[in-house]
Parts: sequence; C-alpha cells; structure tokens
Amino acid sequence: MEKYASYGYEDFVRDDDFVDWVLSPTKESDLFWHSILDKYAFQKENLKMARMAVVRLRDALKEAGNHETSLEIWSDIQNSMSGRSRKSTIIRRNWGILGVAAALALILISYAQDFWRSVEYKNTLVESVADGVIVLKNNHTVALHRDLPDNSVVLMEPGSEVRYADGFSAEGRKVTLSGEAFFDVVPDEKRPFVVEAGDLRVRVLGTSFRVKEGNDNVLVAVKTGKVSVFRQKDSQENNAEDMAVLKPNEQVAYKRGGEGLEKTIVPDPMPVTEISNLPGFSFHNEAVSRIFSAIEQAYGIEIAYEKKVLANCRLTTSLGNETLFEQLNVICAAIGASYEVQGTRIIVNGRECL
Amino acid sequence: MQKHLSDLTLWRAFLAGDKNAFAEIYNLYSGELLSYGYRITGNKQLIRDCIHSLFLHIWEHRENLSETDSIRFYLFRSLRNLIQQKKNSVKSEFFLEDISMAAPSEISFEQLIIEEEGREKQLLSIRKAIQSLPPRQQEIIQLRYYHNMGTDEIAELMEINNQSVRNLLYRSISHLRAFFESLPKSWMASLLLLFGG
Repeated sequence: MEKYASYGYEDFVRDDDFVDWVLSPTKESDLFWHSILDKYAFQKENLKMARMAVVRLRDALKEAGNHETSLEIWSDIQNSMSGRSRKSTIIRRNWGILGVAAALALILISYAQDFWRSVEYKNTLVESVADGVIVLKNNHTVALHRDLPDNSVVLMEPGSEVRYADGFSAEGRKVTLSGEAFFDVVPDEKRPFVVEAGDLRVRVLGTSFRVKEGNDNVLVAVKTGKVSVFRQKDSQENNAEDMAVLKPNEQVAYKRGGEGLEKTIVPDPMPVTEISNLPGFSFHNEAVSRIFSAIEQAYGIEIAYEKKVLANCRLTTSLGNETLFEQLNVICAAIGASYEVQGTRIIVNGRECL
Repeated sequence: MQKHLSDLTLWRAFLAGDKNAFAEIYNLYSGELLSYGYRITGNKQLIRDCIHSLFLHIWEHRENLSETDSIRFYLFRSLRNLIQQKKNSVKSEFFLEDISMAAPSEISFEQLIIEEEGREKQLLSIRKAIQSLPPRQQEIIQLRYYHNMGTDEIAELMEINNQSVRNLLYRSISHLRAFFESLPKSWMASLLLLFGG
C-alpha cells in the first residue's frame, strides 16, 4: 500500500491492480482506488495521467470491423461442420414417386460423404504471389471468406479463384474472378472496384453482389447498393446496349456470343429495408393493393396488376418469414390469381373477387 | 474478471456436445481472439484460418478435451500455439503486410507528437508507435491493456517468466511515455469527474 505514495505515473500504468481497475472496474476496486486517492492526495495528478494513459492505450489497441469478420468466420466454421457448401440443395416439389426415391438417394449420398470426408480443416486457401499479383484459390469443399487489401471481403465458392494486384493500386481495385464468389465491397469513391469475369466487367463503388462466371455465361446478382455491368469488348462504358445498371435484387445473365444483357429478378430476393421499419407486414382484411405496395417497398421490385380488377380483393395474412415468391404464392392462392416475372417486374393476373 | 463458475458449466456443456454452448463460447471470445491474433501476425487471412481451425478442432475433438476453469486462457493459448505452428510451416513470402514483424523503426516520437494534434490524431500516433515496437512488446501491450491479462497470466501464455513480462512492460511503457505526456490538458479536466474533483 505504501508503495503507492512514491509511485510515478508510469508505475501506476504498470501496476496490475491499477490497470485492472481502469479496464474493468468493480465496486471493490473503485472503493480501493478512491481510498488511495484520499490517503495520498498528492498523487492526484499521477493517478489522473496514468488513468488517461491506460484508456488511450486501450483505445489505440482496438481494431475496427471485428464483429463482421467474427460472423464470417463463424459462417465458414458452420460450413465446414456440415461439410456442405453454402448453397444448399433445393428440393423441388412435385417429383412424384420416382422423385421421392431420388430425393432419398440424394440425402443418403450426402450422409455417406459426410461420414467419409475428413472434417479436419487442414490448410489455408492456396495463396501465391508472383510479380506483385496475388492469386487465391479455394480448393476446399466449402465456401470461405477472404479479406482483400482494402478490407472488402470476398466469399469464394469451392473451386473459385481470384487474382488482384497486391495492395490494389491507387487508381482502382481490380479483381479477376473465375468461378463464383460473393463480394462485400467497402465504399471508396476514389477507387472504383471492378470485377473481371470472363468478358464482363462489374463496376461498383461500395456494395455487395454475387458474380458467377462459367464456361458460357456470366451471372451478376446484386444484394445491396448498385453496380454497373458492361462488356469488355467495348471499352466505353457508355455503350447503352451492352451495359446494365443493377439495383438490389436484380440480376443479369450474359451468354457468351449472345445478344446483350437482360435484367431479371434474383431467385431469392431479400428485403432492401428492415421489415420491422415498414408500415406492417401483418394484414387484417386489407386491400390487396396495399399489400402489394408494402411488398414493393420492402423489396424494391415493381408489382404490376390491374387495379380495377383486384379492387375488391381483401386478405388477412401475416407475411413474416417467407421469401418474396412464397409470399406471392400465398396471396395469389388466396385471391385466385397467378403471377409471373417479366424482366425486373412481377406481373399479377387475377379475376375480380366477390 | 473471469466468471469461473459459469465458465466451467459452459465448457462442460460444450464437451457434452451442446451446440448452443459451442456457439456461446464462440460469441464470447472470438472478438478478442481476432484482435489478439491480428496483433501478433498482422495477417488477416492467416488469423481467419487459425480461428477457423481452432474452433473446428475443439468441436471435433471435444471428447478428448479436459475440463477448464478458464476458457479464455485455453483459447488464447491454443490460438497462440496454432499460429506458431503455421508460421513455422509456411514460407514467409505468404505473409503479406506482416506489420508486427517489422523491425522497430527510428521514429522520432517528438516529431509525431508535434505533427498530430486532436484526439483522433493522438490515437493514430499512439497506434503507430505501438506498431513500431518489437513484436513481443506489441503482444504484451495488447495482452495487458486490451485483454486485461495480469502479469502471471501473460507469463503463462507467452511461456516466459514474470520478471521478463515486467521487463518487457517496463520497456514498452518507457517507449510510449512521450505520448502520454503530450496529451492535452482538456482531457484531464474531463477525468476530474471520475475522481470527484
């Protein structure tokens, strides 16, 4: 106790009990240190300086952006544990008897694979550097997250490969992709982020989107933000035919040697706004037009229908956890209507309700 | 401080195969492990892989693990070992942006202080100063002032003796002294509240 009387502020900074009090104070330690201050009032300045030093150190040691990375690693761990890639098998309906047998066979096969596959996660992604170009390849059976030099993150599906200049360049951030990956890009106005996939270039400022490059075609789907997609042949981005601007939930599929870029809706649209922020996804005897309007707002996708025809249609339902298309199924089934996707719009055809 | 009792319960549940307990352990400690791992390797890809390997490994081998009353220490130690292993087995050219391995540079501390003012900039200059310290001092600073580990725990984790820990701390604080002494008086005023004037 007496040692504190002759402490310089640095000694406090190095004192275990003092540091522990500053970083995780308890009632006891609070009482203790206030009593020290009472006893050795002349140490006030030293205690203050020491306290400030410890706080500054703690703040300086803090790393930003850990939470997202933590979540990503957890997702990778889960993938490894289940031994399956992120895109799970979609079981189609209406398979009939033969279909059921096939489905069962599928399940049995994947069980066997899990059993025999070594679940031990062995090595890192194959990473090589040559002439300042970094090549990352995912040789694993699960999708894995990787960090890019600007702190953007790429989720690489099995078998995919990305290349980029070490540290990116001052002018831009360019990544060459073969295979499939999902990009979560950090905004940087001064350096556009461009993904080269086959003939296509996807250009963004800061956003998240998926690119799937295959033998004959390339698919680009946007989750958040906005991207512009254009063909490399015409180095002008301004060539209207071969350029598409994509918003969330839109995607474009480009066929090599094909005509142009056609925009459609992604197969699994996600809400672009927080559902809880919307007027209400629980409807009581609500006009169908209001319901469609709510869905449009939630997904940023236009729903077209004949207002007059459906004017009397009312519905009581709550659309919480279903996907967009499931929600449309529910609504259409209830009012005897059907829908189809045309480009980036949804067209609903129905009859009058009674 | 560590909640020993609930630590043991949580760990036991995990050992018994409780996936929620496993997820909870990850939630509690992954952030810290990331910070620590990044500090000592400076390599994001490596630390991702190490944390991935670590948690996958303990899940797969939980039946062979013994009980512990400090999950945090166990994880820190395992991570540290894993990182050493990987470092030894992989060629150094794969370690890009390996900040912590940089040799201490000849920074003129006075210069840094003069050039940068204001809180954000002060933080930045302290950060730079920390990054210019030798690797072991950086690790110790991180463990002491971010993860709040005591001298004994640090000694056990880094497998050095207490005196070495104290010496390293002594040296690093001496290095950083110039930064504490340059902090503006206005912050001192706000701390008056803490000390009741």
